[in-house]
Amino acid sequence: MKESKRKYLLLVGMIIIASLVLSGCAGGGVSMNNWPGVSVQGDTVYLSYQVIYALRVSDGTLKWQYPEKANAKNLLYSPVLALDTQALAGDYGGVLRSINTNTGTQSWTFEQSKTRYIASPITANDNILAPSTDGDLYAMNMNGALQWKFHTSAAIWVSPVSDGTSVYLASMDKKLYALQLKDGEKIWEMDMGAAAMTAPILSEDGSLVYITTLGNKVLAVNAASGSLAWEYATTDAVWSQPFLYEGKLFFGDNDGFVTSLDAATGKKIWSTDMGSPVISGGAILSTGLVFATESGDVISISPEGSKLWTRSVESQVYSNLVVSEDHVLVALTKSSQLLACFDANGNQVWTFTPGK
Amino acid sequence: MWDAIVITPFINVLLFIYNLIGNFGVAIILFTIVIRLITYPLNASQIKSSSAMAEMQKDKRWIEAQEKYKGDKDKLAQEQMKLYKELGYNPFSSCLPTLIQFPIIIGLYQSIIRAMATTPMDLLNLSRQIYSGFLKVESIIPLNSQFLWMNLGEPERLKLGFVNFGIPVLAILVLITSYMQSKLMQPPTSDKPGDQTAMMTNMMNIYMPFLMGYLALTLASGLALYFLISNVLSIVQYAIMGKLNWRNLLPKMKTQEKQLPKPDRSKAKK
Repeated sequence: MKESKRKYLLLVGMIIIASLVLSGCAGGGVSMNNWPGVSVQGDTVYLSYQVIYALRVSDGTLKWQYPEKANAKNLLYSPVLALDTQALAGDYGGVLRSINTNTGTQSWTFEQSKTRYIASPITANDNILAPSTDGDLYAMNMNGALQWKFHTSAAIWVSPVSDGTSVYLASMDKKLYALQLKDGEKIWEMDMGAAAMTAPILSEDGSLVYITTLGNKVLAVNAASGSLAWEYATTDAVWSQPFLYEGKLFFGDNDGFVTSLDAATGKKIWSTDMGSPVISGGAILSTGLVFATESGDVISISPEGSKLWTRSVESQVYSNLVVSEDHVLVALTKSSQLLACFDANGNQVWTFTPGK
Repeated sequence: MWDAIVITPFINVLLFIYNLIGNFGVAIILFTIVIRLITYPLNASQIKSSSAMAEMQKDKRWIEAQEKYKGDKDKLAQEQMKLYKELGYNPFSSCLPTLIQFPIIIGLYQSIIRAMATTPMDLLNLSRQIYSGFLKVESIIPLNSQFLWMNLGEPERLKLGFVNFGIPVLAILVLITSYMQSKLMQPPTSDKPGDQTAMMTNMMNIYMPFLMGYLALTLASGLALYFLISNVLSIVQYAIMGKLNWRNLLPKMKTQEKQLPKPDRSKAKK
């Protein structure tokens, strides 16, 4: 009888282990494998990594954390859209939350998305625009009431951009859309030939929309008509969010190069080798530009392309860099530390490790 | 190493099929069939060995040894080994095909998970695993993960107009086919009360389908689809080899059969 009981326990144990192994391999349907989202508003940096951490930029101390414990069904990875009184964050359970920035408590939720949020929402003319992986762009008022939605035929993984009249949206269906902000009516659509992993950005005068694609291209599209203004071919895919500075477009690529293009013509000005793929988007400091490589080098370069300083964070970097008060915030992946803060001269000011 | 030898080639074959078909659900089904066809000889060898083992356990000398050396495990093991040799049965012949298949099954499972890439990190890793000379990343990514009513990257629920909740159709089918699979493939077990092997087999028949059903309920539906197709293919292979025990599915008839007086074959032989 004892023998029988032992075998029974062994059998149950084996079934439990099999269950854990199988569900562990698959992440329980909700993948845990992603990089953190970072954003700043005033003196606060918001870090999304399963939960949201609100930290003081000056010293990295924790102001609040939401929720207190990570919920496997509602993990938070997409960068928070932080406004004066509310921080908006979409989660992996398809819930968009408004969190009070002073208290870290939830104000309201928007639960119409059928699947997870990967990209950050934006605001335009008192509208919140939330792109979802269910293929819909949801427009709501500042209290989370739906105004309109626009459907695309595939998931939306990147934030839209708006000039206050139109909204420019890239979907995984490989199309770039222009919509009317007031009602979501489509103005034009353009076939990009490949999906985009970076959000579209607008030129300073709003006449061009810039976007990079997995088809190794940087496209400049006329905002009014959707026609192609120019295109630039890269040697590898571009996952690094491009940005504009003094009439030039800067971006990194998977081959490890940072390139500067003339934003008006698409002509290459310079390209410099960073030594490792550049997945994260760069940022602008008072002393120059700053990029991070996948292998963990934080490198400052002048707008002319010469290297100013290099620091290693001994971790992988995939998240877009953000700047606040002339400090660059670098989110770390596969490290116990989640965030490192450097001043404009590359001196490390603080690091943040959850639970410390 | 594991990635380079197993996962990456599997992912590329799966995506190659997807590239031809354009539907990830059908690609998973075809990919599972292809892998099953490749491992068919191994499975067949395992099934034959299991059957031989089941037959051997009916041998008079085996039963006698079980009774005689009930309290002496070492002696029992010696007698069993002796019998294996006499009957020309290799006890490892059923383990070996399983051991060879195990990495293939794990590789199949992991390649499906990775190909579904539901986060930017997963997608970045996937794009790096695609052989660029073989497939074009930009034409494959993103995968169309819609299959029938399912998003293969999410747990499956069928929403019908007349009920206000989603019905987990795949999970139910996985549970049913897992139960059918274990019952149909179960070799005839002893009817003796207190037979531990029979008890364990019966317990497995109950727990495993529920475990598989639970996993299908909570994991991405692409994996649940793989579980379902795997179960169906296993049943089909057993059927082709004529090893299915349909009577195991009919417990009532089995009970009735037991109650009927059996002819005394030993006397008839004499």
